[in-house]
Amino acid sequence: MQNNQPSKRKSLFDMRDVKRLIFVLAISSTLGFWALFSSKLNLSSFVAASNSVTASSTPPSQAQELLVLDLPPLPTLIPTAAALTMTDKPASAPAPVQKPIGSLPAQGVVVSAPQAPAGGNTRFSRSSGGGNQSRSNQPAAVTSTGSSQ
Amino acid sequence: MIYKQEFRAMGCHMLAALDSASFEPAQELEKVPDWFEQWEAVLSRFRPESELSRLNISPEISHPVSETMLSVFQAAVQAERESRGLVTPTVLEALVSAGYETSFDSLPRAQYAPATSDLPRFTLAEVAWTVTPPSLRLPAGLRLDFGGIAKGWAAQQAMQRLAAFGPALVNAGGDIAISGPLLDGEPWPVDIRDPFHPGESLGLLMLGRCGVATSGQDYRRWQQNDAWHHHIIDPRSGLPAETDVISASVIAPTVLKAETAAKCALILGSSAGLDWLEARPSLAGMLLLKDGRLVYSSRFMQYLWS
Repeated sequence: MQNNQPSKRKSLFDMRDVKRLIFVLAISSTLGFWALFSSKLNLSSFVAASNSVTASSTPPSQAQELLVLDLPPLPTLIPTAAALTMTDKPASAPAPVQKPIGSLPAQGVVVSAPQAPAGGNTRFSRSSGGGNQSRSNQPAAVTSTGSSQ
Repeated sequence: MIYKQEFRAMGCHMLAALDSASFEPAQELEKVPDWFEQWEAVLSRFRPESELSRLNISPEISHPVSETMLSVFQAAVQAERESRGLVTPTVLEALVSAGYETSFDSLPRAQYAPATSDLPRFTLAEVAWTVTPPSLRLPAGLRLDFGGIAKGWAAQQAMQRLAAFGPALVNAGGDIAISGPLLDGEPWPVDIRDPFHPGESLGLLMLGRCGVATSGQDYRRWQQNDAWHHHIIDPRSGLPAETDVISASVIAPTVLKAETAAKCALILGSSAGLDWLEARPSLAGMLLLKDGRLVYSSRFMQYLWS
């Protein structure tokens, strides 16, 4: 009888160790998952915070700065070039507008820039009977009048 | 930036120009050839199906007419009144008798048919017309040809439509309507062509809001029985005007007044023509004479580039 008691006690002790092990594992896994989810939440909030800073061009808050400093860089989440383009541009710069194809000059319409008169200080004598009286500073005529042609 | 649209209509070279900071308003220029086509379809005597042709072949009947026809007719009444009968659309029979029967592009330059001055004379006072509803009734024997009045009217109409989009200029075969100065406040530079030296200029005009027109016997001319004729009929004789003026260029408040005055000065000749211009303070004119001299009314020089 006495020989059986230690072995029984030993068996009970083993079960207690197993329970303790399971408990420790449960606690540690719970803590591990908690830590993991907590990190993902911070990452998400960091990405959101970065995007909003980039888009609005407003300085990040102090808390956000600390958060950014605490976490590793995320090189692939935000295209560097795009972020630079957006943040480097002054807020007041007008957005470039591309002309639709339909607004291109149509065939037949000719564009010309008028040459403004030079001020009227230059004089020239008029010869009777016509002739070309063009001067270097004379404005180019937009059109001409004459008998119907 | 000046945008231009050039095309051919009414037997003439046409140009419409618009000064605009952007291209979008200038797209209106693309409509101008269609406007002229619509007006020509109503007013041409060379198109058998035109409203004018139908009117001319059916005298002594009251015809309902379009607003365009009535408006041009009223402009012609005004021109006849201002010129005291020298500028009138009632000389078509005399024009045909002188040889101008078809459009000038297809007109034989040498003809052998006698011109006659023994034709019935009419004035627009003999045309019965109403505004509401628009209608015209021609007396027997009268056919109308609006000629330069139609071109001036069309230039004025097109210019007024374009002026809603910016400073505009419309040149209808030498009859030019200008809405006002360019966007930068400068006047429009307009050349006066030299008929003796093609491609050269008789002077450069600097023009704001006005009309300018040139009437001449230098281009639309042809030979009949070895004598040269032109298309400016003197209603007093019923024959092409005998005048020492080759061409007359006039600046006026509107292109229709300029067209009327230019034709009037050409028919009257240099002396009476200049007196006629001087007597009207709103007009300024330049006459090119057969001997090559240029004569100006006193107010013309202020428009010349110097």
